[in-house]
Amino acid sequence: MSASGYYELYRRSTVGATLVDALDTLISDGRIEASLAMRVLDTFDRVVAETLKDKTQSKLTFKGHLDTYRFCDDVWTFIIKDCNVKLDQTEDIQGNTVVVDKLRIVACNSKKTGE
Amino acid sequence: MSNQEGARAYETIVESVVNEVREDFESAGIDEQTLQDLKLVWQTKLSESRVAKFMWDPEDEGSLSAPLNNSNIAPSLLDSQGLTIPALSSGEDKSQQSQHQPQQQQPLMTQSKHEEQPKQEIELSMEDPDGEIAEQLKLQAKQAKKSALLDTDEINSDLDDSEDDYLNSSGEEEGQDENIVLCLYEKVLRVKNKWKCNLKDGLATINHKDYAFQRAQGETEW
Repeated sequence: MSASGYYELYRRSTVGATLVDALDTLISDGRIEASLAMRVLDTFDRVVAETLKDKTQSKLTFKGHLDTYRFCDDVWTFIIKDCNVKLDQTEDIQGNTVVVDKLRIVACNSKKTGE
Repeated sequence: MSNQEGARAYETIVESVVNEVREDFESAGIDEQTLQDLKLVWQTKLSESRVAKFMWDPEDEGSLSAPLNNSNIAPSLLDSQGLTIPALSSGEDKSQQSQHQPQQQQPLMTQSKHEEQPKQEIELSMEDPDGEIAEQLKLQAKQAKKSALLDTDEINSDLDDSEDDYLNSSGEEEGQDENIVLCLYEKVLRVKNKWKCNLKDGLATINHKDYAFQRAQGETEW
């Protein structure tokens, strides 16, 4: 967890990795300092956590064969093989099922977020 | 599976982060243009990742590949693009795009780049009412600069290290090809070989598309 009390885990997502990339471009162009980039990432950690908590409604369900499980440093990691994934936007708009060979889940403890 | 909510969540995140770091930029003495450039590069990279359809995506689907082709972008990004829209890589499309760009605009824009920085912003917005060409040119210039820097091995920022940590934190990872869910857990239960978990606040990349969810529930057998 970062100093601000939010998990850094979402930096691995597409929206996080592209931000890291964009910040890196500005740093290598000499337009911002690395310390400012770090502050941006801290803000990102908080904004993502708040956005997911307050602005999403979808529900995801999955079923499959649990290939690997790991619990380390309060983080669960699951690797699920032949996994059926379904996303329901709302009760009315139900999604169809997608099958993936392999799904990795990385989950931090919800009881420790900066609330 | 529709990922509209994921796209809206990403748009909210970009907008909120940019607005909330404005003060940090100001106190660090960095001008608004740099912040806007950060937003633009971020949005462009998200568009290039093709994990969702964003409101800032260019109307003309093909115009994305123009900056892509002559730049030094992470191979993973190119991979995902090649996999999702293979048709774009044909030579015919490329030549079409270069013709799309108005011939007179190009020299005009390049000229303005040589002038003083403050002027540049004004001129670009006047000559290009909808901003699309300006954005593209700025991006191209930036990516050219970036690749030049990459060649000379000048990148040694703290940010690089932290990025490496995320990407290399586990040897089993498969980069952009991976189906991954990043979230929080509420409960993980096991009875014999049956596992159930309740998750929340997640971002997921599944088959190169990104989704956001409030809750998730999984049932698996070990």
